[in-house]
This record gives sequence, C-alpha cells and structure tokens, in this order.
Amino acid sequence: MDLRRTVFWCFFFSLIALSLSASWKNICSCSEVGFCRRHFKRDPIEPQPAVDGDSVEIGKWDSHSVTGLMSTAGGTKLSLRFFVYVYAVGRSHVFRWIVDDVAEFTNSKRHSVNKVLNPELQPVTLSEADLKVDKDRIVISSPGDPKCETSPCLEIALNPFKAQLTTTDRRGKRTVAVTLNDNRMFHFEQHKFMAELKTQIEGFDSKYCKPGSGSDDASKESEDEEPVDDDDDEDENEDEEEDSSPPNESSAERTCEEPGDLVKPECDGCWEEAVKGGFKDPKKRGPESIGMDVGFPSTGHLYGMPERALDFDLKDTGDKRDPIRFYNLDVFEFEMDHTLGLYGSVPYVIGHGDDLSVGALWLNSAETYATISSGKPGTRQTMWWSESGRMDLLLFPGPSPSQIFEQYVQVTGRAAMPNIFSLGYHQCRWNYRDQADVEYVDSQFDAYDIPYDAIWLDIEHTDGKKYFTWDTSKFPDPTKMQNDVAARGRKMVTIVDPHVKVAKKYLMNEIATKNDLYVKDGSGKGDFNGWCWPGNSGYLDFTSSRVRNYWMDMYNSKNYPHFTENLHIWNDMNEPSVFNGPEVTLPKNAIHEGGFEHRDVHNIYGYHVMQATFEALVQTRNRKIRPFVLSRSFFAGSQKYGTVWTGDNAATWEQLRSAVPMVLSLSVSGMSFSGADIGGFFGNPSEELLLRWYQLAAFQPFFRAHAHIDTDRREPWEASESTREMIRGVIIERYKYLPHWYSLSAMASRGSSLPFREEAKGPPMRPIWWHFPGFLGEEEQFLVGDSLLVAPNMHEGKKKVTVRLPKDNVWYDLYGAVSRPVIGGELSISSPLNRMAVFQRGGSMIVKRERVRRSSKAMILDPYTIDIAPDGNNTAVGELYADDSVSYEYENGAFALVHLVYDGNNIHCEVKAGGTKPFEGSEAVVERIRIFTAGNVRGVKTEDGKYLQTKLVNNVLTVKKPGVKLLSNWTITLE
Amino acid sequence: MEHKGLFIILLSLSIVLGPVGSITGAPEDFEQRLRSAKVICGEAGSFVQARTVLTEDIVNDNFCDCEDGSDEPGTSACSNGRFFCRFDGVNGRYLKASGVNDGVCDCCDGSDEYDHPIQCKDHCEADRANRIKELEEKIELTKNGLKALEELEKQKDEHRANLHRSMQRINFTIDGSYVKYLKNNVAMNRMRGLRWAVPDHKYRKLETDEKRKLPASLISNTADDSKENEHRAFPVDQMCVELYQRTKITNYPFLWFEAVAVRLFSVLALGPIWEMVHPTGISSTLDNDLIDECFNKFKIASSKLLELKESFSSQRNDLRKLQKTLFEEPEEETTDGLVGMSAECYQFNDKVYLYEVCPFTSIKQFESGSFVGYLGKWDRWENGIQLYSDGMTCLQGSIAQSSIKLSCGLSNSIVSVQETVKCVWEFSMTTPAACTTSMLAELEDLLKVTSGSS
Repeated sequence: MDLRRTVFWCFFFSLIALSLSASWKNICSCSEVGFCRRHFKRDPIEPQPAVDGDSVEIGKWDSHSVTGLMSTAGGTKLSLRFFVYVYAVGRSHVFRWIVDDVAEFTNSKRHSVNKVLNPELQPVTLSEADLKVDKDRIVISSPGDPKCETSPCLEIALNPFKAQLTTTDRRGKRTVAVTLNDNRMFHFEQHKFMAELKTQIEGFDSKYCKPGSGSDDASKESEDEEPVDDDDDEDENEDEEEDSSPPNESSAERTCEEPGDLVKPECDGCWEEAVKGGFKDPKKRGPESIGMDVGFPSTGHLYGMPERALDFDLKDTGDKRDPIRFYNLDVFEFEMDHTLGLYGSVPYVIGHGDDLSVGALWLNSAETYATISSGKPGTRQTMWWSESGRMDLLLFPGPSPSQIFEQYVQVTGRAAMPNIFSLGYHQCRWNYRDQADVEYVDSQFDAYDIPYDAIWLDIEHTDGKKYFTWDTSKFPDPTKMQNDVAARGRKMVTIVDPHVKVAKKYLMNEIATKNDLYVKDGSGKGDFNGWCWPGNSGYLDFTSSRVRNYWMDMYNSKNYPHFTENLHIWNDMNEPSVFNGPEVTLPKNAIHEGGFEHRDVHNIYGYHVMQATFEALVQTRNRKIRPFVLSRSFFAGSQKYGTVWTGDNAATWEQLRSAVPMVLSLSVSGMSFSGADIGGFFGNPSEELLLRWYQLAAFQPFFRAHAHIDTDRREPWEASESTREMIRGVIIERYKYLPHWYSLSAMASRGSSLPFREEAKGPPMRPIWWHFPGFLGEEEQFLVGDSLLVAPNMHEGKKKVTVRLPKDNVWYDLYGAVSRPVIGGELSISSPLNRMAVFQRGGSMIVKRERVRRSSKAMILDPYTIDIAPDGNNTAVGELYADDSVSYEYENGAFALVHLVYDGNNIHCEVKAGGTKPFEGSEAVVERIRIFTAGNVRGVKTEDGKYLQTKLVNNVLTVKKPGVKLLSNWTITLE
Repeated sequence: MEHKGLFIILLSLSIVLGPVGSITGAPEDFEQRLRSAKVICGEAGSFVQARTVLTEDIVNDNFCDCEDGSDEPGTSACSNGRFFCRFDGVNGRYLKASGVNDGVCDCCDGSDEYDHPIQCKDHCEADRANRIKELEEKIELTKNGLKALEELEKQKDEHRANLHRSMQRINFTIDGSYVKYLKNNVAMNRMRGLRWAVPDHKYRKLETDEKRKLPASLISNTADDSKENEHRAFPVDQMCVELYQRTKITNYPFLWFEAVAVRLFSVLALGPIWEMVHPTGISSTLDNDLIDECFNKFKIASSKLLELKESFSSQRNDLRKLQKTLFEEPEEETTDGLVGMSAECYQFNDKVYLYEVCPFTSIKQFESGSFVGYLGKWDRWENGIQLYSDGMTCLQGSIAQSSIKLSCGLSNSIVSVQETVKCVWEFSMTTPAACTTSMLAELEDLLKVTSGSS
C-alpha cells in the first residue's frame, strides 16, 4: 500500500546519501574549527606551567601514582593536578602522564578514555625509592632501577614544567626518548577559563556575573575521586553538568561559575561556532581544550597516526598544510595525500631511529589534531591538542619495534584471536541481491575450484534497512541459505549498522525507545534523530554499557531471525555517519550517558559499537566460537574486537598503492588485522588492476573483495579466462600460507604469554625497518612476519619491479628461481601479470598447507609442507602456532607452539608450549619438506633410521612424506 | 595404516556396489591401463618426470608426484587432480581433488570421504529416482512444447502472408504518394510562373471586396488529417486544381507574350495605356492573391507528401527488419517460432514493478500503474539471447538495457525478472519456440542412460 512512498523515500535518501556523504568539501579544515585555530601556529603562553615540588607525593592519592599540583600556562594558581603511573610490561615499563583539573577549579568532570585500555592492566605500586624530589626536578624511575641505569625513567623539571623519558637504546646507551613541553606548547583551557579571563578584561566588573551564581568551593567533595577510572565508570550517574551546589551565602563577591553566568569575553570560537553546512555548535562548557608538544629527540622518523591516506613515513605537516586531524568521519570518495582523518583514529605515533624505537599514545577521544616538524637531523617534534577531555599520554619506551608493539598491545589490549575463516578469502559486494544470487556465487567458486571462506551481505538484504531483519521477498529462507554455504565449510557475514530506523513495530527501535537507549539531542531530553540509510534514525548510545547489554541481547534467533551459528557481523557507518549532521556525523552537543557531550566521546563511538557486537557474539555462542567482527570506525584498542578495513576506496592505481602505507600504519598502531578492499569500492577496475590488487591483498592480513552497487560484477569468473586463472592462483597461494598467517596472528594476539621467538614479534604485516636497518622511507614493499618480503607491482603496465632486499641476508624468490638465492641489495625483476615478487629470507622456515581446498575449514586435517630457506651458514629457524582455530579451547591448553631449527645436518622440531591436549588438526603430519639450497645430501632419515625418498631438482631438495606429526618433538637427519 | 583403511573401504565398496575397479577415485579402466603401462604422467612433479609411465607404487600414495594429478586419482594430494565418483546416478563424474576427504560429501555414495571423520549417506538411488522423475517431466514438457510449436508454425505462415500484404500495401502507398508529390511540384512551379506573369498593378486594381468573396475554406484549410491518406496526398482545393488546369499553355498561348508586353509597358510607365489598349487581357482574369494562395497550397501539399513518403518508408524499413528477423535469418533455432511472440506483449509483476515485454519492440517498466521508463528497445540476437538496448537513463546516468533468455515451455510467458547489475535487467521467458527435437532426443538418451545404469 505504501509502496510508492517507500520507493520515494529510498530514492530520496539515496540522493541525500549521495549529496551528503562527506566529501572533502563539507569537512572542516583547521581554520574552520575554533580550538584548532587557538592552538595551531601559536606562540608559547607565558607564564609557563610550573609544578609545585612540595605537593608531589607518592602512594597517597592512590597507591599507584605519583601526583602533584601544577599551574597551567598563562596562570599562576595551582589549578591542575598531574599523575604519573607506571605499568610493568614485559621486561620494561610504560609511563603514563595525566593532567586533570583540580576539582575546585572546574565545574564538570573531564572525560577519560581509560576504558579502552586492557582491563587486566594494573599500574605497579611505586615505593619511595622510585621517586626522587630535588628542588628543581623530580625523577620517577622504574621499580628496581632507582638510579635509572637500565630501565626507563621520567624526569620532570619543575619550573617551567618540562619532562623527558630516558631509556636505554638498542646499543645499551642511555638516551632521551621523549620530551614533553620542550617547545613550551603546554596549554590547558580550564573550565574556569572564563572566570580567569574576566580579570583580563579591562574594567571588568562582577556585575557581568549574574547575581547569586556559583560558589568558590564548589565540588570540593569530589576531590578524592580516583583519576584512573573504573571500567564501569559509565554506570556512575552523577550529572555534573547541573549546578548542584547551593549558592554560598558567605561569598560577598559575585563569581562566575557557569558559562551562562557571564557576559562572555571575546574568545575565538569558545562559546559557539558555525560548522560547515549551516550548523551551529554551542559549547555550553566553554573553552576546554588541551595541548602539548611531544618531542622525539632520538628518532628521526615517525609512523602510525591512522587513519588517513598519507605516506607511511610521516612527513612534516609544515605551515601550509592542515595539521593531522583525528575525527572519525564517513568521508565520501576520500582523496590521497590528505592530513584530514578518515573513519577511525589511533592517536598513536611511533618514533623510529637507528638505535631506538619509541611510542606515544595521546589517549583522548575528542576531536584531536597533531603537527609534525623536524629539528636537528635525527629528531622530530609533534604537537597534540584536543577539544576536551583530560590530558592523558602513554609512553612506550621500546627500544625495538617488536618491544613497543608488545608494550602497546599489552596496554591497549591484545588482538582478538581470529577465527581461521576470517584469514581466508572474503567475497563481498553491495549487494548480492537475493538467495539465488548467493547460491550462484557460492557454486561458482566450486565450479572454478577457487577457495573462499565467506560471502557477505550488505544493507540491501534487510527489510528497509532495518538491521536484524531480512527482506524475505529476496531471501525467503536465510537459515537454509546459511546452512548451505556452511555445508561446504564457509560462513556468511551480514551488515548491522548502529543507526536504528525510527519505525513502529521495529523491534530494535521499540527496545531502544522503551529503554531510553538513544543518544540525546543537545537539550539532553529528546532523542537525537538523524538521517541514514533507513531514513529517520536514532543512534544507540554505545558508550553506555547498559545500551551495549541490550545490543548483546539482539544476537539470537528470537530477536534476529535466522541468526545461525555460521553468521558473523559487519559494523559499518559507525563513525557514526549521520547524513544530515555536521560533517556527516552527530552534532558535538548531543548528549551521551554520564552527561558527556558527543564532542568528548566522538572518536570512541565506533570502538564501542564493535565492542558491543564482539561481546554479543562471544556471549551468544557461549564462548564456543570466536566471532568475526569487521568495523569501519575504530580507536586505540579496537584490535581486541576484530578487524578493520580502510573503508570506501576506489578502483584506481593510486588507491592500490595507498593500501600499503594505510595498512602498515594500522598494523604498527595495534590494528594488526586490517586490509583494503580488493578492486576498489567505487568504480570499475581494469583486469590488470584487479589482478594486481589480488596479488597485493593476498599478502595483507584482511583479504576481501568488495564493490559498490553501481559497479559491474567482478567476481573472479567475470574476468577473462586468463585473468580468472591468475586470480585463482593468487587466492590459492594465500591459502597455502594460511598456517603461517594464523601463526602470525596468534603471535600478535598471544605473543606476551607464549614463547614465540622474541625477535619475530609484531603484527603480521610490518615495515621492513621492523627487522632491518634503513628502509625508513619505504612505501611500497613490506614484510609478512620476519621471513617474507613482499614487493607488489602496483603500477599500470609496468613490466619490472625493483625489489629492495635488506643487505647481509640472502633471499629466495618464491615465484621465480627459488633455487638461486639472491644477496641483499637492489634487484630488478621482470613482472609479467602472473608473477608475484615475494621473497623468503634466508635463515627462515615457513610451514604451509599446499593442498587446494574449498575453504580454510576443509584444510584443517591436511598435511603440512615445510619450506626451508637456509642462510649463508646453512641454518634456518621457524615456528608454528596451531590450535583448532575456531574455539576458545586454547585457553584450556588445546594448542601447540613448536620451534623449528635447521642446522644443515638436522631438521629439529620442538614443542615449546602446549602440545598436550589434542584438538582438531593436532595430528596432522608433514607431507613434504623442501630445502631451497641443499647440495650434498646423500640421504635423509627419520629418528628410527628409516630412509626417506628425496629428489634434488635444481638444487632444491624435496623430502617425500617424512610422516612426522608436525606438532610434536622430532628430528630428521640429513646425510 | 592409511592403506589398510583404504583397502577396507574399497573392499566394502565392492561388496555393496558390485564390480568396481580397485583403485580409489579412478574410473574402471584405470587399473587395466595402469597394468598395461598406459598411464602416463602429464606434468612433471618433484619426483616424476613428464611422460613417465606410472607404476603402481606411486599411485594413490597420498603424495603428488605428477603435477597433473594422474598419480593421485583418489586423494587430494594434487591440486589438479580429479576423483571419479562412480555412482552419481548418471554417468559418473569427476570431482575436483580439493573435494576429496574435505568433510563435504560430494559423490552420492560418499566415496570421496573415505578418510575423513564425516559420515556420508549413500543417496545414489534416491538421486537417480529424482533425476529420472525430473527427466521425464522435462521430456513431457518438451513434447508438449513441440506440439504448441507446430500450432505456431501454422500461425507463422499466416503471419508471413499478412506481412507480405502489408508490405505490398506500403509499397503501393509510397509509390502513389511519390507520383503525387511530383505532380504537385509541377503545379507549384506553374504557380510560381503565373505569379511572375501577372503584373502587380493588376493586383492593386482588384477590389478588396472580391477578395473576400473567396470561400473561407479555400483560404484557411490546406489539409485535413482526419481524411484518408488518398486525400491527404493531394490536399489542394478544387479552385487551385482548376487554376492549374486553366493555365495550361494550350489554354493561354499568349500568356507569356502578354506578360512580357505588360512588363515592357510598365517599365516605360505606359501601364495605363496598355490597359486602354488591352483592357480585358488574359492576365486580367487571373488574380494574384489566388495564385499566391495556390502556390502555398501546392507547396504545403508537396512537403506533406514528402513527409508521408518518408514515414511510410520508415514503416517499410521496420517491416523489412521484422520480415528479416522472422523469416530470412534463421541464425537461431529459437527465432523461427517466435512469430507468435512478436504479435503480443507479455507482463510480469514483481513486488515493486510491473514489466511489459513486447518482443522485437521494447520492454517497459511500470510502478503502481505509472510508466517508469523503457528498459530497452529491440536491438539484436546474441548467442540465442534477445538483447534490448538504449532504454531510459538510470539514476547514475547509465542507459538501461535488458536481455531475454528463452527456454522451452508450453506458452510464451515471463518466468523471472532480475536487475543483475544496476540498470541491467535479465528476463527469463518460456516459449514453445525454444523447444527442439534435438533437445528431446538428448533428454530421452539421458533418461535411457540414467534408468539403465542400475
């Protein structure tokens, strides 16, 4: 009956979607944001902040912190309190620097992002020996190293305030790794800023204050609040926005407490400002931004700071460019080489130099900016500022890349253990139109014998973009559809977005309305409504654990019909995207739980959406099946909940090339399971581009093909026969290395608790400098683990690839003449379409499964192949982690980690951890061992003296069916 | 261990299923060929050279010795290997090696999962029964379709005759209107001549009252579209026709002489004298206004005739195209019987749209009763599929196009419609025209094989 109307609205909103998705045009630059202007290119503010040495105390405020009072820049009152916490991580210590208002100088609590950190992480209890207070400085040392000889130490100069983290570099030399406020850019706009400002206005008279307002000693009672919040701080129901303190009768002088109490002094964009697109942003708390410079005096290169399409090796932002922006937005057809932020934010930077790697996390979820500049050679400076929230900075001392990665993920949380299917090939499209289409695509993979693991359904599968529902005219029996796909070992993924259609008789909306789950508008009373795919929508307040609990309750077949155990979830549009909102997101004055404004929590909204979905899937399957959740938006720590991708890219060569720096930036920032969509979302790739994209993506962690609804179909069989066969070959190569990918992913996830090789630690995809000196500006080539170097051809029509191989190593060209190792250096190799350039490092052993199968699940019992690439000394090492790869049984010991050593005479395998409890696949044997250069081998025998069949072809020795069970202790001897 | 298990399974297979070769995953003659040294490695692996004769010891040893998989018919060891499913209800078929012992039951007897924990059910007989039923239904349908086709063939002859008649009629009309067009041009030219011959001062003398005496219909009406073509072809009124006939040179032998004389006198400013000399000359009987009027009428008639001719020509082209499509170009078997289709349009309703397919003409889309746009206009045949192109412009700017796949059925009707990619539609239609005797024969053969393979 309402067909026409529905169709009209669909049309209408797709028009809106087209016109309102944030293209660069309607995204604000720094000059259009008040607090950005107030910090960008400013001079130091005098007087400089100073720490009051007398107030410094240890173990008194709380048992863990060193704390004290300090003044802010431009003021003399001790209106700020700083905290230093130290966390023991691995063999080193992470230092945390927090600055917050002293309660009497504020009228509202600043937002803390504590909850994204690993909940198990507790600061160490510092003793008196760990703190030295002199008259002009204090030194906080790592426990057990009071003289600061080996471990990191934080030295704080009192007046003016400056701080530096000293640590021991890789050569054993003491070095200043990070400096704070060295450039005197500390700035802390306090909630009482306006009250101080009044004194600066000539002829200020307290008549500008409303009579009877405010009180000098407001909210003193909250002083003993612990600044390191509990995890469930969102459950506290204090509404600090309202003036709860009664007027102080004794106060003769009128003072101004609330922004509304004062005739507001001139201040650039402090009280209200216009936002592009005709929006207004009223700031009821007035100016409250914070900022500070963070210097890297020993590391000349900076990396990280996702997500944006910039070089991996971060360049100076300079005066002409906008500063780097962290503000999660749904950017339509994003462009290359832009400092403005995309869908997610990790305000984390890695400094890397010849002798030291160090990391800094600016833990703030409000809109944040950073600049990068250079000083002396080998040094870099950054400056950071955020619109609101407290100052919270975590410093990771390194000194090696592997160590900062370990330190970072132990603090922000370890990556979720992937379900093995998620490392396979994903076939996605907006949209597989109906059940028959899904069946067809699924059957084509079998017809062409191409392995794949998941088929995806985008928004069109729902009934009118109402998530948790199905369009039953197109998908009459979704349960059967999922079961059919799963019958061949595969999974399905459906999209569930955080906006909820405001429609009667729609369960999610009814639950949300009834239980008050939506983000509130600026008044704090009504639900905020905005436009998204379904039309008028509410936005669930995922920052609230109460809301997340309701969300978790949706993932069962009662509330989500046809939710089978083979279904996994994709959270898109979770920046969140609001088609008719300022910069296509929620207005900053929208209200979240705890009375926080959206401006305080914007960058962690997407994080919490993903968290809620992940926890829902774990819970609903009784912690039996590891969930897979893909999210477009993210924040530091999102790796705990799964996978992210680089969003809506386009079918261009430029965008193909940007996939390397973008995914590398994500990887080193903890988001170790990420990828860029194959083929490019917008537009139609040529066959060459598509093929080259598969070749790249097969060696990136997340391996998904996706396409916009307006593009031509591009499943592998849509290409010409030759391209199809080449794509098939690439996908098969990915599957051969699946045990390796799985082991690397487990290392990123369980690296701190299991004896993986220390030097090999890091994200699965990593820059070459992770393990080798130099390569600091490398933007096209990268490593997978510590043993594969990938040199993709990402240039149209290019016939050759220049491979830059680290020196002092030999390398084996896996898709070329593998029997002829190459010495490190620059090498030009021909690059016909069917040729990938991937090199295995001499000295490494890689465990593979070479049988072609339909899916990862079908491989689980298959025998292994071991590729041994000897180094100059004819030795090699490797390792493999394995478990059932779908459940949490590994927590009960059902896993095995083996180390493999080849010394020229023996191949030796040793179980380093686990290996006692059986699991599916634990009995798998080795069917083949390949030694890339083995000259004089006369015979190969097992421990019981049985000689094995071998064949030497072009110097490559293949051992046939050694028959050993891989995940056990064994030795094979070469004679 | 492996071999033992294999052996037991093979043994049990042979007991249950009767005579089979003893080599897993290989067709029955494989063992024989292997013994007579006829199985040859096609593509070198690490242990066996290409073109080497295979020996029993490396066959199905669960290690890929030949890259083409010829040594591993029964395992998943070779990525290019093939597993022979013996009991598939039809001929037996090959399964890709990736499907062997992968936890998915592919062969109907489950023989591909001999070394996997999964328990497969043997559903070969049930499969075959289903297959036979399916085939029988298909045969029945094809037979009936062929009958319906025969009917259509009759209609086709009639249709062909109709077309021929239409063609003749059109040719006749075109020719007729062209002749008339030529005649009109002659008349038009004569009017032009007359206009020159009758001097202007004569016109001035003509009483305006007399001008008014001309019947209004002659002045205003040049053509009446509602009249038949014959009339439209020569829509000039009687008066002009008369004028045309009256001014034939035989009637006015001195007209041109007189005209020259008048002009001469007029140049010498002796007009009035001429009039005194010759007050009732021929030219005085002609009225300039009338000549102008008639000139215009002939001119209009002429251009209309030309238009008419052209429109009929395009109709003739369409007709020729249709004739060609239907009768002269039997490039597709399906073409022939589609005569019945071309005369009608077919509709299909999905939940949102109504589709109207007029074969060989166009495809339209309606929504809630109102016309949305063309999904394509008849373009061509391609590999037995009808293509319609150049439809409406879709939202993203691409031009709508459609294709119709035809399958054998009892009547002409649309079975399904899908927008496969944005702005590209795929229609499935059944038609008796797509039923062929060769198809029937094929199905019957298949049925024989299927039912006989027990």
